[in-house]
Amino acid sequence: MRRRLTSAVCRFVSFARNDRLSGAAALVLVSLLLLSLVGPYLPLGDPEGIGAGPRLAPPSFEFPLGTDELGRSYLPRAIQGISATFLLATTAVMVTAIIGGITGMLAAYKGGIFDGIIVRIADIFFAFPIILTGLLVTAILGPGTLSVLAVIASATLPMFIRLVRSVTLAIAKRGFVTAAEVAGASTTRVLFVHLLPNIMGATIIQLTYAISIGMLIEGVLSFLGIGVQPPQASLGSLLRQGVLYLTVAPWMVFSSGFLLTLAILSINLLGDGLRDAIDPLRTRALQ
Amino acid sequence: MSELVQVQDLRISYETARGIVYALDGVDLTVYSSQILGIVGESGSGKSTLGMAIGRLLPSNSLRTSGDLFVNGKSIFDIGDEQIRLLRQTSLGFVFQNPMSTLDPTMRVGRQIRLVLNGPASDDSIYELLRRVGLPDVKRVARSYPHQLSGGMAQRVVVAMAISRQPSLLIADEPTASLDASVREQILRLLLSVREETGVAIILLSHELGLVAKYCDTIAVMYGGRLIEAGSNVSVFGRPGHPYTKALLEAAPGSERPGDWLEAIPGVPPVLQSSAHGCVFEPRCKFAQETCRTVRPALRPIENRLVACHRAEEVLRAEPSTAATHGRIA
Amino acid sequence: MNTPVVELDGVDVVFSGGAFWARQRIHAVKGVCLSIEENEILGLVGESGSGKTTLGRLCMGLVKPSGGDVRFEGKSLSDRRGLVRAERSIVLQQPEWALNPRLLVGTSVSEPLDIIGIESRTERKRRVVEMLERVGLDRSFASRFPHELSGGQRQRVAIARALITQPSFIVLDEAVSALDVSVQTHVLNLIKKLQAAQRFSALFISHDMAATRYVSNRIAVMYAGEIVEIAPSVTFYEKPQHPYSRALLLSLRDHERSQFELKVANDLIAKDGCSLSHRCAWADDVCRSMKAAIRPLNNGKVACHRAEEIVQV
Ligand SMILES: Nc1ncnc2c1ncn2[C@@H]1O[C@H](COP(=O)(O)OP(=O)(O)OP(=O)(O)O)[C@@H](O)[C@H]1O
Ligand SMILES: Nc1ncnc2c1ncn2[C@@H]1O[C@H](COP(=O)(O)OP(=O)(O)OP(=O)(O)O)[C@@H](O)[C@H]1O
Ligand code: SF4
Ligand SMILES: [Mg+2]
Ligand SMILES: [Mg+2]
Repeated sequence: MRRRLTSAVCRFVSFARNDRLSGAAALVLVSLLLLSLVGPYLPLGDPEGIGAGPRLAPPSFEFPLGTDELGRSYLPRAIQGISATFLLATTAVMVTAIIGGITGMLAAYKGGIFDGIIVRIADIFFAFPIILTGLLVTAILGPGTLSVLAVIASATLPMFIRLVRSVTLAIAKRGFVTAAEVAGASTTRVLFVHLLPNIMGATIIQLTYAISIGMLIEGVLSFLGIGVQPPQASLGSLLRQGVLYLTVAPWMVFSSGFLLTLAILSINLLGDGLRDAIDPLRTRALQ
Repeated sequence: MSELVQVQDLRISYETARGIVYALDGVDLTVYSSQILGIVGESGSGKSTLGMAIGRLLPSNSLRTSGDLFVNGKSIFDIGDEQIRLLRQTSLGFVFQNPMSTLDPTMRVGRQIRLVLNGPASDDSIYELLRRVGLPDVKRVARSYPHQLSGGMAQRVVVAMAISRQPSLLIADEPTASLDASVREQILRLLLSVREETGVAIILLSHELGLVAKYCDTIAVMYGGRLIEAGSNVSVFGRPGHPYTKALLEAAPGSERPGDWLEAIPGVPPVLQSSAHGCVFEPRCKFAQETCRTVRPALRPIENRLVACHRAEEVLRAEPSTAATHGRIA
Repeated sequence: MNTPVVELDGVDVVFSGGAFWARQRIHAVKGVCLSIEENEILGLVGESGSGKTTLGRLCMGLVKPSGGDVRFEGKSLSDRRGLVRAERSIVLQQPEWALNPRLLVGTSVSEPLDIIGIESRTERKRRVVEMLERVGLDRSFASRFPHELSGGQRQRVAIARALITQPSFIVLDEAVSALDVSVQTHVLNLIKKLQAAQRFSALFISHDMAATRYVSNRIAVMYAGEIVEIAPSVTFYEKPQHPYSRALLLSLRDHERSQFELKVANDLIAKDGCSLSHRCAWADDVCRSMKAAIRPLNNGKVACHRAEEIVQV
């Protein structure tokens, strides 16, 4: 009875995800992205124009999200924040996906000592608390965009290596890889023709997940003041300011917090939807 | 004998980028309980498709264009997902054609069997199960990952998993393709003894004529997505009524002398891009005549079997060579 | 005499398996000496788990020998340099894994051509279509994905891929096991014809004695990792010299008699003497106490103390 219930729930969830949720999530993401891209060109005001209005004004027709403590219009700042956060997280994750992907594939395919070393290194990185990494990196590089990039990279790199490695391991033993080796295929060929297309699905799903983690890390670091520095806006630094004026101007923290949550949630939902949709081989195995 | 599976005019096609492939083109078949039915046919004739259809395990690019398939009197295309799962769990056992991909590469064999058994199982019962399919060194096998087993060992593990749940219908798709003669005998004997114990019906999808001739009571021959001959073992293999069955029996290697060339059935097996109007075997048939190209031969009873051939009578009469063939493969 | 294409010289392969606290050593191949001559198809038969696949992978350098040496055209495989890989190809036992699920069949088949550097696309395409047709698949299969094929079709695609570069040495591991008699005959004929035309050598691994006899010049029989008999196929099927070979041949026709000759036992290998002595109907005291080394007899080799008597039967 219980199994039936859970399976019914699962089916419902997967249905909803497939058809509605991930669609809605994709829509939200695309509009956020568009907004962050075209935002600067919209006649919304200057995100860094101090004294454009009264300080800490509540939302009004002229300032749809109110103003901050320096009288800057909050809407363009929030948009600038999303775009900065997105950009940071995506750049960092793309770089790690490529590096981690290739390292993971190589480790799984070559095996032996190389594999052992890579796995150990990934494990060490993985075990390191992100906040600690953040403090360490900022101590070396100083606070700012660069160190946020570095922290996101070091947090997501081991995730990619581990995932790609384990997915590749299952495939590297298959006959088509062996047959290609015997026919004389180079390592590059095996990696990019035979392994990569077969691990792409899993990697893309991981990519969405990693981007959401990257955004979260940016938020945390900037919130702690060791990330993106003012006057540049990012969702994390906006949150940090917002918290200071929580009682006087709650719209600040709520609007930036809401946007961050919305973005991360949609990315995760989309990733889950992709996971269901991408399975291309439609295996005939029994459930 | 009650009817377990009934297939009625089933047509199944696959959509591919290059158009539609007709895999089953109007198949009628009945399987009774505790029967051993052997389905033979050329590679690509639709055997696996038929087997998969019984468990509704067809891939998502498949399409049922007509017909129906009943298991225990219920159409499997009508019942819900939950019921079909229950059916697979309780009454159907599958041995898939590709043993390695049925096994999870990341899990030890013993653990996979335990999962299939679906309840508390002692190590000993798992070893016993592995021993029954003739595996040596069962402890090592249980602790191995699939890639550490040889092809034949993996195949036997899959057979062990299929019989472990005591299904009422076992669909075995090439269960012995990579096994040597003596292990093959052992597996088939095991299946027979399981049938004695539990009364399971077995559908053996195979290309090995000798095996099917030896162990099955009923034979169905498929060609190009159609059932072309069906009946008791003795009648179908003893005196084939269809030119294809006849040619199949003559093509079996084993009797030729070293240095001889074997005679393959001339021509290539068809890939059906459309449903043929006439007989599917016509392009390769020695007996073909004008009507064969235009009129689809219906499955009709003649001399204790069903044959789909316009000239079955002539085929039955013109037979001397095949009697010897039967003696050889059986 | 010419140097053999492949030469195994006292090769051992030991895998480790089982639980990590109770490591078990699996001796998959034991002291095998074997050579495959130019222009020869060597058939390798033996029961499931006897080490046939492992031996085939050894010949390709895919498994490192734990002892002994494998030479390809006189050069040791442990020394990778100087090896032209396009000269070899393999058809693996599991057809369902043999093809890359993401590549079209045509791409898979033309890959070896790509690797040896045949640039012209039309030339590649022509050869792919020709090869597919030779294994009994029409050209429409080139634009299908592997999961859209039946088991036997997949196996034939793998064979087409292996033969397309006209290699000088091929390992065919259960290459025709998923094929029905008619297609099997077709493919066996193809192998024979190509072999006569291109004069390649091959290791034909199979459990199917009839098919092996049809294509092979010589037969090697394997039992529990050892080669117990090698003989020209003409004499092998007429007069097997080893009790195990006899039982294998008998099992084709008469299961009961073969069981009389070779009893079923729980252990694969006897503790002392000839590894078959606990199952063999011929075993005497010598067999039970002394290992039977492989030795030349008539025009083959055999590892049995009583081979002379067995041939007489
Ligand atoms: N998923 C699929 N998509 C497209 N075509 C398919 C698919 N599965 C099978 N086919 C085609 O349908 C036909 C029947 O396939 P099926 O697997 O039933 O053959 P089979 O009789 O089991 O052959 P074999 O003995 O080679 O396993 C074949 O021509 C095959 O190419
Ligand atoms: N990677 C591995 N790790 C551990 N054991 C292995 C590995 N590969 C093979 N073996 C073992 O070595 C033995 C020989 O295996 P092999 O695959 O060579 O047999 P085979 O003669 O090809 O059998 P079959 O006819 O069933 O394919 C088996 O007992 C198998 O379990
Ligand atoms: S119907 Fe005609 S073509 Fe078809 S099998 Fe019979 S004789 Fe041959
Ligand atoms: Mg099949
Ligand atoms: Mg093998």
